[in-house]
Amino acid sequence: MAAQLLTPTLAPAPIAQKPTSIVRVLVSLRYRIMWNALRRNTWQLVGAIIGALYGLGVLGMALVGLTALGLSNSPFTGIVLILVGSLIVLGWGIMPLVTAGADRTLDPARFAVFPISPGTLRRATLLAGAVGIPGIITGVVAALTGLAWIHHPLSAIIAVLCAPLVLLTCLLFSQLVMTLATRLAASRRYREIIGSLMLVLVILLGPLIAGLSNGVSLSLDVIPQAAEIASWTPFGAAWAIPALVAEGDALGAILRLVIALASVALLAWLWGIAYDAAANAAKSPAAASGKVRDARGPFRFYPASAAGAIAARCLIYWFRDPRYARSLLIVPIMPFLFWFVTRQFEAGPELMAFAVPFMLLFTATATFVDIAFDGTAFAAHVSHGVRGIDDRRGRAWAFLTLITPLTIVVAIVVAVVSGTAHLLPAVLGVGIGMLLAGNGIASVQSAFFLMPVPDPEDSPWASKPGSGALSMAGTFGSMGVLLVLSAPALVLLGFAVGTGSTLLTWLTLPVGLGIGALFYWIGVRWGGRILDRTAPDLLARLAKHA
Amino acid sequence: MTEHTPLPGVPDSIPAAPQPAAAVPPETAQHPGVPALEIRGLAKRFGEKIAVNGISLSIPSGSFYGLVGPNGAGKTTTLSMATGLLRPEFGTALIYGVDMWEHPVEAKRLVGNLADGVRLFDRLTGQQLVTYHGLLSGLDAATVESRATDLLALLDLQGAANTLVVDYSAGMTKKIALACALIHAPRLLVLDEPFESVDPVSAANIRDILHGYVSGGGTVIVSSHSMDLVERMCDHVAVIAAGRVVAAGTVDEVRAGSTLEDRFVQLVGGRHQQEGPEWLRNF
Repeated sequence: MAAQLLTPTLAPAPIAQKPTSIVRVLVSLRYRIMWNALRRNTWQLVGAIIGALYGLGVLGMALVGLTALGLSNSPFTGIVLILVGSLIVLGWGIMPLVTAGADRTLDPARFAVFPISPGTLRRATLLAGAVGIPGIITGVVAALTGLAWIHHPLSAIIAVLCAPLVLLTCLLFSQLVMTLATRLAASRRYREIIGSLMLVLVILLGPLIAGLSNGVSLSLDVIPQAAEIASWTPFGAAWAIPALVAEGDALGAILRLVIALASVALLAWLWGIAYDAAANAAKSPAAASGKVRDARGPFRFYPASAAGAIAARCLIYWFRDPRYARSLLIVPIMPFLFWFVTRQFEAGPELMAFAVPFMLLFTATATFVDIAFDGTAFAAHVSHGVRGIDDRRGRAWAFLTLITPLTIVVAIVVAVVSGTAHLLPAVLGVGIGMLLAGNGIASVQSAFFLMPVPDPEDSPWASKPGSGALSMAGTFGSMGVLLVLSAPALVLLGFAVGTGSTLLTWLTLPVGLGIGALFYWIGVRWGGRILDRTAPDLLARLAKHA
Repeated sequence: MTEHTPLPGVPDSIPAAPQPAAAVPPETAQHPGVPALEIRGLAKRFGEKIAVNGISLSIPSGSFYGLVGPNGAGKTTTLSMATGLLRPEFGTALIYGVDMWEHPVEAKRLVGNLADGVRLFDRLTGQQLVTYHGLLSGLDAATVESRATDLLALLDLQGAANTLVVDYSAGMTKKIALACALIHAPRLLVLDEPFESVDPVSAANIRDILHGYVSGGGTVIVSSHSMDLVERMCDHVAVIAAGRVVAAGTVDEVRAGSTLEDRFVQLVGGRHQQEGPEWLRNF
């Protein structure tokens, strides 16, 4: 009897049935987890606060800028808003790939055991994005564009009404890109894909630079045209509606509204497909890579010592751990970007001599995240009492093995394509010198600075809460030091380029190499000594991060 | 068993079948009283929580020592401090008389460590991982190669030697971690939960290896939740609760006529007679 009486209350009564309440639970879960993570780690908390302050700064600037735009009542208001707005939407898709911005708290794989539909999880993910700092800022800025239409009250109202539409487009776009990128990273073909992509980019570098420099040049009169084109795309359509209303183009406004709504529907549909595919893949984890043919692999190339073993292990990780490959992706992109940015100056092809140093500024110190990538596996080094200097050397050797040939190839390609082959000795001197110095800097930095990085099982694009500002501080810190230390070589390269002197060009080669070797020598020793002192404490911090 | 270069005072029998008595560590022979591990007043806090509150233990050379305690008692923290992974706030740990925190490199050479809750470099294959650990401890290439082959055979991992460790099952991962702890033929083995998720056959094989290691003059410390296992396997045992040693000595001394499990529950407390809430009992 008692059992029968009890049964009704046993049934799913206490479970929240409505998807909306599950969404609320999931969104608050995300914030609870974030807050708990921040409380455990002071530096991540500091990073999050800096991030929030930065967001407030952006909001303040947007407020001032949009008000000024509104008061000026300029005919270009619409054009500016469409172009900047399109860039914001585009940024939502690209930024997570560049800055490791994916929040994996609501990863479908983690909810596989719960009776929650993928649709509910998707809504929760979107809502969680909307109430995050970037989501709030984008939404508020989109609404603030009403200020820019202060002389057109109807447009102002429509701009505010379009804000949710803009935000939804951003969120869906970024989630679609993230889901696809994570799927790609999880696939065993990932490193082949990344590798071939890089190869293609290196090969295309030459033709692209040559082709584009003969093509259209950016000038002021193409800007309105660009805005017109953007307004027909999912990126700019929603931003164009108030502008067209202000111009009195009702038909145009309605067409853009249709495009904007259709974009949201299309993105939601595509994301749904990608998301469900990812969720199903998560339920059946495939073996990561299976067997390896060559038993010893890179262990053959390096001396059989502690440093050699670390070098071999790191080299394997550069290929097998997708988090490493990420930092190599920019190698072929950077010279291209450099060319694109500097061609406005009409300084002549000699400026391209700086493309390789520019690229290395972003890559030479890449090993400063190495120990953070190790995570608690670093315990192997601590428990065997590995000398700090061996640890530092091994990591540097692996990276140099990989990046030096790549740098030389890129330098030759850039020199040949831009017709600056006569400057190649100087470029190589500065470049390889920067690589050496960069590894010296990273050796010191990574002995005390731990970047919050995604775990090895996570997507390489996952992020830890509050890591944005910290990663930026770490990256720009090492970049700044590298710039200062290689300044003499860079100045000499500048003189070689300016004067065209063969003597100076050849002089830059040993000077660049010498400076690099010196700072490598100092950095590896200094970093090794710090590590000897602090390795167990570093391990304790890594365990806390995990 | 080709080109092993035995470390000073290490029985040259680790990866191979036990060759008892032949190799008693000379140092221990000279100082028979020196314990394999002596920890004095170790203490560690994590924020407000005191994880280890003044633990002192003396682990005699040649003993098979069990460390038991409830969840959160401080076993892992104690072992981490003794093996040089975690800096203690107070106290010292001496490995065969060498202070772990004063002379870490010398002390660590004497210890093989299977830590619980740390990652392995699991993007390496099993063979590569063992080789890696061997080279890190300063062995030469030929020794590492022959020992790695021996260890993989000993732990039934030859078939998986060229498989990435990330693709191993939990039990295989424990076994490869054990191989990594053994490669430099340490005199003291510190194993934190070595039998967790290891299948019974492999566990029995590992026990045989450990017994052979002890009879060859080595010392083993294991932490475990399985009283049964510790009772059968170890000759000494220490019970830790709330960061303190509650009882320590030979297994017979500690269990005092009863079973180790009953004695453990009696020492640690926390058993309660309940059937659980009503909604879990009526279906």
